[in-house]
Amino acid sequence: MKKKAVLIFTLIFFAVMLLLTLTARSIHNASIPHVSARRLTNQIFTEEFADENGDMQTLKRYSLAIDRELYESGNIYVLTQTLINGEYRDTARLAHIETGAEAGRYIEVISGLNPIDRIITDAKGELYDGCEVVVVK
Amino acid sequence: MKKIVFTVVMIIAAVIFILPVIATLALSFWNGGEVSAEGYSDLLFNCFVFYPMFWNSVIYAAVITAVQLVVIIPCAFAFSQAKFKGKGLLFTFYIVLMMMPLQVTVLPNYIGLRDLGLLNTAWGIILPMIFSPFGVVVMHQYMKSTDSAIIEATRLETNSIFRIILTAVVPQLRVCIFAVVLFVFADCWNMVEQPMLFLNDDSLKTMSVFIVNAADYTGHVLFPASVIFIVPVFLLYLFFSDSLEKGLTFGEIS
Repeated sequence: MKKKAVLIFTLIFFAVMLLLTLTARSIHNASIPHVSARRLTNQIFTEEFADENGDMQTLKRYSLAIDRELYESGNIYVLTQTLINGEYRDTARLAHIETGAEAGRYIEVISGLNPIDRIITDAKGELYDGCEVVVVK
Repeated sequence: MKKIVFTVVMIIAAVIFILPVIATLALSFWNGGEVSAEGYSDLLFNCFVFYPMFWNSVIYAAVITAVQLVVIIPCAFAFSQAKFKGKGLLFTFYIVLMMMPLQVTVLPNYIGLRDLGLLNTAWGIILPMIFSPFGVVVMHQYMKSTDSAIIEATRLETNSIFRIILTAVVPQLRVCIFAVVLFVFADCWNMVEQPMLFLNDDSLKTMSVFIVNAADYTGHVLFPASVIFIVPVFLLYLFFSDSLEKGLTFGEIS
């Protein structure tokens, strides 16, 4: 009787561990923000300036650009990989960016972002600096 | 009066031995000054490296225990039944080997595994552990008390050593086998040095290494991991507890 009870408990223990092994990550992912991310594009920005003779000149620059709508929506978060509990996971890093010229729906990014950065464009859930996220493909 | 004093001393000794286990269990539910299961939540739902390490421990311990039995029983049978020159010397060598601390054998093992190219593989853990003298010595002592008439009778029926072992020896050794299984499994389950020295890859490491490195992980994972770490060996002990005492008295009871 005792052996039977121990055997049943052992089976339950290993079954629970197996179940957790298979589902723990999904359960964890369901509790953190799901985000979409994409790279920034480069756009042509025009800047007018007066030369030494006082004539107006136009300078065209091909620079990193951010969507005006995204920029005005609030904080800009960059997708990064952080070592958490022994593995690299996707996290959101708050970006402090400096903007320059505007062109249509784009705003020039002068500093704070790199061309290789993936910025978070859409998030289901509240983001904060350093929070773990799930990237929706 | 003597009996009462003896009982009190035994109770105090039992409390001293069980206190660390109770403390581990209590502290696993203690977080930030209040009772909480947050440590378990941190461990089970945010620390995914824990799972491969748990299953590695299960696989290593199960495989080593099973293969050790295959090696130990014929070896102990040979020591007990076969007649060959240097048997006593060889058995003394086994006992000396059993007495040696792990730290003495770990470097030769490391060099051997390195030369065989087995470092950072599961075999690097399993192979050196398979040939443990402890089980052979215990089983050989127990075999002295077995009924040799049964073995002789089986010998008349067959010449196959393996058949003799399976039909005449193993049934008589059942109690001892259970005790050896428990000790070998617990020994493998608790190993720390071998996975830390022979393995680099985290995906191959064991739960004991996870506990050693618990400070590297976020959340209060140490005590919950320790509680889960205790469970399999405790269950195995409960399962074989009846056989344990008999098995370790080298057959004197039977």
